[in-house]
Amino acid sequence: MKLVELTEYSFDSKKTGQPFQPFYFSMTPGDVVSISADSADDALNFLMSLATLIRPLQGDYRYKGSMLDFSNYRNLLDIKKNIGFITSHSALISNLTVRENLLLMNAYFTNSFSGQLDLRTQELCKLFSLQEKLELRPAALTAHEYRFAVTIRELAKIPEMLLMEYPEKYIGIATLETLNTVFSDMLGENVCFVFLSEYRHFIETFSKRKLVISKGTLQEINEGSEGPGVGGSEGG
Amino acid sequence: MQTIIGAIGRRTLHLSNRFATLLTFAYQILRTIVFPPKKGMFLVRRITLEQVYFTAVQTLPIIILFAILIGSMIILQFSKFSGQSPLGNIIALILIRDLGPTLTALLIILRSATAVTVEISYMKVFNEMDALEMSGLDPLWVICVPRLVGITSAILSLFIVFDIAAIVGGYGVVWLVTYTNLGDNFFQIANNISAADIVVGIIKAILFGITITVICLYHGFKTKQHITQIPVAASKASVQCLGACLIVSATISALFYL
Repeated sequence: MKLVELTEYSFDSKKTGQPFQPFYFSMTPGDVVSISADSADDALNFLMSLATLIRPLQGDYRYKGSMLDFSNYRNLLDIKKNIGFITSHSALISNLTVRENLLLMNAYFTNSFSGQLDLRTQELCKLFSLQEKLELRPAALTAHEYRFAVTIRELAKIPEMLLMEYPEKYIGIATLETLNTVFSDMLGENVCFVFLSEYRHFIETFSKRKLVISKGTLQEINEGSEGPGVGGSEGG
Repeated sequence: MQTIIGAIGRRTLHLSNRFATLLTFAYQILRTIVFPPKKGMFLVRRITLEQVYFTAVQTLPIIILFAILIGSMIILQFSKFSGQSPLGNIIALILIRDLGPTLTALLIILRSATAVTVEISYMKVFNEMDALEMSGLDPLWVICVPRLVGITSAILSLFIVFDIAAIVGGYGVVWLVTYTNLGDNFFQIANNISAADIVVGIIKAILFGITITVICLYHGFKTKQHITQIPVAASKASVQCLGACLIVSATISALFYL
């Protein structure tokens, strides 16, 4: 079963205001898609639309076969919580500490706040050397630490789909290399991974399919991939 | 002539549209209170308590000081006319019915409402609302409901504190620093306060709380992607809150006392 399937999908680019050409895009669990784009804004908008943060102008968005209803934001919350979103658009809640930010989702859904991070989050904090910064507010973090905290929060979600914008710039090449095991483990758990990157080594390590976004048009570069597909209209 | 009529028409439509949006927004928040989601009650309670602390507890010293100053001014001035008009009656009229709720609301607008607008605008501009949604949290539930409940209950309790402090404190100050003969005016006030005065005060406080919170949240959420819009939103919200509170106050007074 396809995890996501966008049919005849189009949306307005937030910055340019130009609509994206209607496209078809689908992913099955475990799919890894790398994106290259002539405009970073367009690529971010594409990731945002996959994260259901942008309302479509037209077309259908199916998640695990169910059509998404964009008429009320509440209908999308259950989908959003299963999507890891690590981009320049991601943020921490500024009036909470890093620990509270990391535990926020858990506190909401379990109706309790233990203050204790789970093992996976603790390991990620250790990996990013953020254990000493957990009681600080986001404003007290450096830009790097801030992005690490966002990355930990999104990875700790155990998402079904992970969206990432320029991981090499967002968390830095050195840290990215240490995260390879984390990504490999996640892909082993059939997580869909879509990332925008210019870092050849990362693309070659993980990418199974390649997309190009050019002038508001989405195209797949086919290198013998057996991915579910992308195109101007519904394809396979 | 056509241009003027057209401009008036467009302005009217724009205002009606904004008013309808505000009402819909208020309805959505109130509906969420009546039919709350199952998740997140713990968080909502905690944020509500924080809001009550910021809005009510931290404002207490300021509101008591203001109330004593205003109460003593009114008592001092009107005690001179106590021969012609009973002082208790005047104080009940001015303080309990109108000045108490209105000044409390004004203080909350100056102190907390603008802060709420800035906070929400900031969260909007820096994508924190999207971050909440991406974690599956409902902003209406975890952001709007605690602020509405917190600010409304804060205004209600502060209005009671204001009235008591204005009357008791005001009398105390006048008795301590002047030789004015107050006679049995203190008991006159007690005799002149009717149940309707207290009910009107409570209704006003609740409506002020809802009005102020909804307007502030609306302006906060309306802020787009520019940090320069934050002070504009705060200033618009505070002016509109004051205007709306005065309209609500006048309407309630007219309904009960005319």
